[in-house]
Parts: sequence; structure tokens; C-alpha cells
Amino acid sequence: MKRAAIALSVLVIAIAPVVLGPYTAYLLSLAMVLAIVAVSHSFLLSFGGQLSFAHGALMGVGAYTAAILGTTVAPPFPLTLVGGAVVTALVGLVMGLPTIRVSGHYLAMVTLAAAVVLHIVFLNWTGLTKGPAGITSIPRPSLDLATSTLGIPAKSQWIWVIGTILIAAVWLLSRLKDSRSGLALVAIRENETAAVSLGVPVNRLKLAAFTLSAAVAGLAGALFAHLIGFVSPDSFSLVLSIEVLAMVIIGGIGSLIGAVLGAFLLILLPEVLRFGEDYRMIVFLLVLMATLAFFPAGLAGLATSATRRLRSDRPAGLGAAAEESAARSLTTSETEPTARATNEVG
Amino acid sequence: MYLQQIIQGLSVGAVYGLVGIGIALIYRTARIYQFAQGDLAMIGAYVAFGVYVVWGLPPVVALAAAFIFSMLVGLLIERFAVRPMGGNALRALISTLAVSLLLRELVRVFVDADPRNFPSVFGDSPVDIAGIIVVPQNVWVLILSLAVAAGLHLFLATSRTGRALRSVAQDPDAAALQGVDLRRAAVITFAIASALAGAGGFLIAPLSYVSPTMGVLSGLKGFAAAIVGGMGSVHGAMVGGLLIGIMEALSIGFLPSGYRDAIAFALLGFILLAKPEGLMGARAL
Repeated sequence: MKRAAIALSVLVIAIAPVVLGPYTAYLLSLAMVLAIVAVSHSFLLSFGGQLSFAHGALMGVGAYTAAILGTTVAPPFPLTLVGGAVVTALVGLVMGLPTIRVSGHYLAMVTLAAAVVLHIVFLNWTGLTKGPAGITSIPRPSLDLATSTLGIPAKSQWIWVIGTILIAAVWLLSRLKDSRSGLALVAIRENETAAVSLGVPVNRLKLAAFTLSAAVAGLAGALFAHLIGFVSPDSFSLVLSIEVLAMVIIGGIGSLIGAVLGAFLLILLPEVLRFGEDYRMIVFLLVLMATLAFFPAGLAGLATSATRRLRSDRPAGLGAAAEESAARSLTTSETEPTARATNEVG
Repeated sequence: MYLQQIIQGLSVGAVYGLVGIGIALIYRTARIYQFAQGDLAMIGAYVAFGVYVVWGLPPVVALAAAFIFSMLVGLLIERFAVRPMGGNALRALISTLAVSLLLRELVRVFVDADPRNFPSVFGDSPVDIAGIIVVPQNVWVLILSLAVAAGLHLFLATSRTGRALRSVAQDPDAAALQGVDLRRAAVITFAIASALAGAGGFLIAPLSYVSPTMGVLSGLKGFAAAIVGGMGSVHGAMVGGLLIGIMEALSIGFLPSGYRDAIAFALLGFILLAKPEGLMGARAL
């Protein structure tokens, strides 16, 4: 099943720049960039059990890094991506440090606060980020071979670059989740105390997971900067982080491919439905809330229950199990203030 | 001169505290993070704007209208965005987040997208009292916020319903065994917290513009206030809010104004590092 999916996606990505018009190609590229962020977020939430509201801002860090590098030092193209990933990883590391002492919902709060602070920094550190006006004219490297020989517009070729990175990211994170460290991570998510007693290096793994997730988000941000050619603070507000979270939820917690689907759905669907621009957000939010209420397992959950009827050996409810324990990690935190133990009025 | 700044900081902080109290109350009783609290304040501000500015009715009527309307919206939220989530904290959290954005968008699209000026209710020209120059608006906002908080404290401490809510906060199962209706407790808590937010909106409106996004930062800072004070502590939320207000006011002159909003969150990060259970939260076992 998975090999078929990979083969199919490779095929689609290979053909797309040839058959799609420029606007559709751009949309697809954008959807894939956001899919990379969504996958990084899903990895962190589904298998690390950590809810982050900062991934939009982290993407912004990567984007701004690439933008600043691209417009000042102008290194060869892949280096801006590396720069974006590394700087964002460092920011993620700093963000993750306060959460070692706390767990569960406190991490979410820290990421929330960090997202706000990062946004304020984007707006106000005008010397570096040029403030509200943003950074423009970010150079976009072109892949000449295809342009001259096959007549494919340079912009559309980004589908190959981004698509390759997306597939690589999904493959890498998928392998990681099944590795020893990945299983240890799931153990932490399921029951941190038990994991500690088993000798799992909890703090190190949690930090590593967060940093890795941040790096991938930063990488996506760098791609975004080159794709759009322009970055500004408003692109990376809390709203983006919530959109990423929505992609993961609607796609289904516990499924990396679900996150990709969620991203595609949320970027491409409004184009198909062609609502008045005003109502797009409202519809999107209602869809999210309906998903939460009626299909908490998301698209992946629907797919799982559909195929479960066909194949009895398929593990049932992986997504549900992942979500249950993700939720549990929010309600039972070991440093939860024991308001229960007191009889105070306030 | 400093005193004037501090009083202004305290008055803004007191409103953050009101928002934070609502968040802490809901968390204590229903174990849910109400991310839409700040936007409920925004709704209250818009209702107050309509009643006081557009219709020209007395400010007391505007306050009551804000109080009631926000309470109603809060009850809708509890019924349609929280209760269907089946007690799952993650889903409820994301749901209230979605509601927060939804409220903003609904107001932006269907009511008014432009920021509006809310005229001062209590007078915003400085007045000399015993040699100290204060702005009556700030003083009144501070007094009223503290009065509302005190009223809530009295309610929780003395009334039967208050005691029921406290029992749910202490141990939901035991409370249920004693005959407390948990669902009604959640509904009442939401009603109170949302009404508090509405009052907060009315109080903060004259201090700044009325716009669809005015609730975003107040809501987040209310969260920061609640966490800084200790997520389970209602008193703590007010303390946290006042602290944030003071720190913001004192930063004028030191920090470029754009960064002032970041103070609340820097404080939040610091508290999470130093004393995660908050200033007034009980230390974990």
C-alpha cells in the first residue's frame, strides 16, 4: 500500500509541471510546502504527544532566515534551505527548554506564547526583518535544463523540488517513528513516568523531537520564501499555526499522510469551491469544528475504518489510540497544580 | 508621574485579570481551556458600543447588555463547541480555538471590519486629586474590575451554587456523589466566565479601539495571567493580570512600544521555568 502511494506521488509530481497551468502549479507548490509543515507538526503531536501552536511562527523563522540570507549573502540555493532549517531548529531548542520541567498542556502554552513573541519580533526587529513591509525580491534559483529542453516554465519546476522534499520528509519521519527512538517517543507519550522507569532518556528525546519538528518546519519556511519571493510578518501569525493544526486534525492524528491530505484539502478546496473571499475562513472553521465533533479521527480515520472492513489483519484504531493518548497527555500533567487538594475559594 | 503610569497599568491589568479569572474558573471546574475568552470580551465591547454609542443609552445599560450578551454567546459555545467533544481535552481546546477565530471572522464580516473609537465613559482628561494627577477612566476601570472580582469571590464563598462549583473544582467525582449536577455546574461556570469577559470588554473598550481583533491579545494575556497566577487559582489570575499590567506600564520608556505586548509572554515563559505551578498555585506533590 505504502509503496503504491509513493510511486503514485512520484508520478504525479513528475507529470504535474508539464500538465498544469501556472496558477494551479503554484497552488500545488504552496499546498506541498504547507504539507511539509503539517507533517512536522503531526509527527510531533501524534508520536511525540506534544501539541504546538508555534509551527506557523517556526515556519516564519525559516522563511525569514532564507529571505535574509538570499537578499544579503546570497549563497548557493541549497544553503538557504539548510540555514533556514538550522536556525529554526535552534529557535525550537530554545523554545523547548522551559518545557523540560513541565509537560502536557504547559508545552502548548509555551508554544502559544512563543508564537506571539516571534510574531512581535518579526514586526519590530526592523533592522533584520524590515518590519511590517517585509522582505521582497528573494531570488529564486531556476532549473534551466527543463526550461530550455522541455519548455516548462521555471516557476512550475518548483513542484519537483518541493515534491521531492515532501516525499523525503514523510519517508524520513515515518522511518523515525518506527525506529527505536520513535518507539521510545511513543512510550513517553503514553506514560511518561513508566518511560522514565524503563530508562528512556525522556528529556533528551522530547527536546530532540521538538527540535527536529522545528527544523522541518523551518525548511518548509525557507522553501516558502523562495517560492513566493516575499515574506512579511502577517503570513506567519497564530492563524497560520491554527491552520496547520487544523490540517493535522482534519487529516487525522496518527497519520503523516493524513497531514498531507489535510494540507491539500485546506489549500485546494477553497479554490475549487470559489467562495466569496470573506466567507472562506468561516467555512474552514466550521469544517474544523464539525470534524472535531463528528469525525475526530479525521480523514485517515475514515480511511482506516473503510479498509478495516476489507482486511481483518489491519491494526484497528491506531489513529484513535494515538489521539486518546495525545488527549490524555493534556489532562494529566505531572506538574498540574493540585487545586483539588485545597479547599480555597480562589 | 510614575503613579499615573502605574494606575493606568493596573487598570489595564485588572481587565486582563478579569479575562484570566474566567479562564481559570472554567479550567478549575470543567478542566477545559477556553481560548475564546478574549473574543467574548470583544463581543461585549461591540454590544456596549452599539448600546452606548449607536443607541445613546446610559453606560449602565451598556454594561448590562454586554454582560448578558456575552453570557449568552458563552452558553452557546458550551453547548455546541465544548459539550460535543465528549470531555476530551484536546478536542475541546482546538474547538474553542476555532470558536475564537470564528467569532472574530463573524464580527469582521457581518458587523464591522474597521476599528472604532469608543468614547470615554468616566472621563479621560486628567484630574488633580490631592496633588496626584489621575485619569478618572483608569481609576474607575480598576475599581470596577476589582469589584466584579470581589463579587465573584463572595459568590463562590457564600452561595450554595458557589460551594457546588468549588466542590466540583476540588473533586468532580465526589461532588457528583454528593448530588451536584456536573453538567449544570459546567454550564453555570461558562455563564459566569463569559459574563465576566463581557464586562471586561465594556471596561477595556474606552481604553483602546473597538475592533474584531481586539480580543486576541487580551485573551492571550488573560491566559498568561491565569498561568502566571496558577492555573487553578482564581485569585491568582487577578494577581497575574495586575502584575502584567504594571510591568507593561513600567516598560514605557525602556522598551520600544512594539515590544510591550511581548512582556506578558516573556513573564509567562519565566514563570514556567521558575515556578510552573504559578504564583499562587499549589505546589505539585
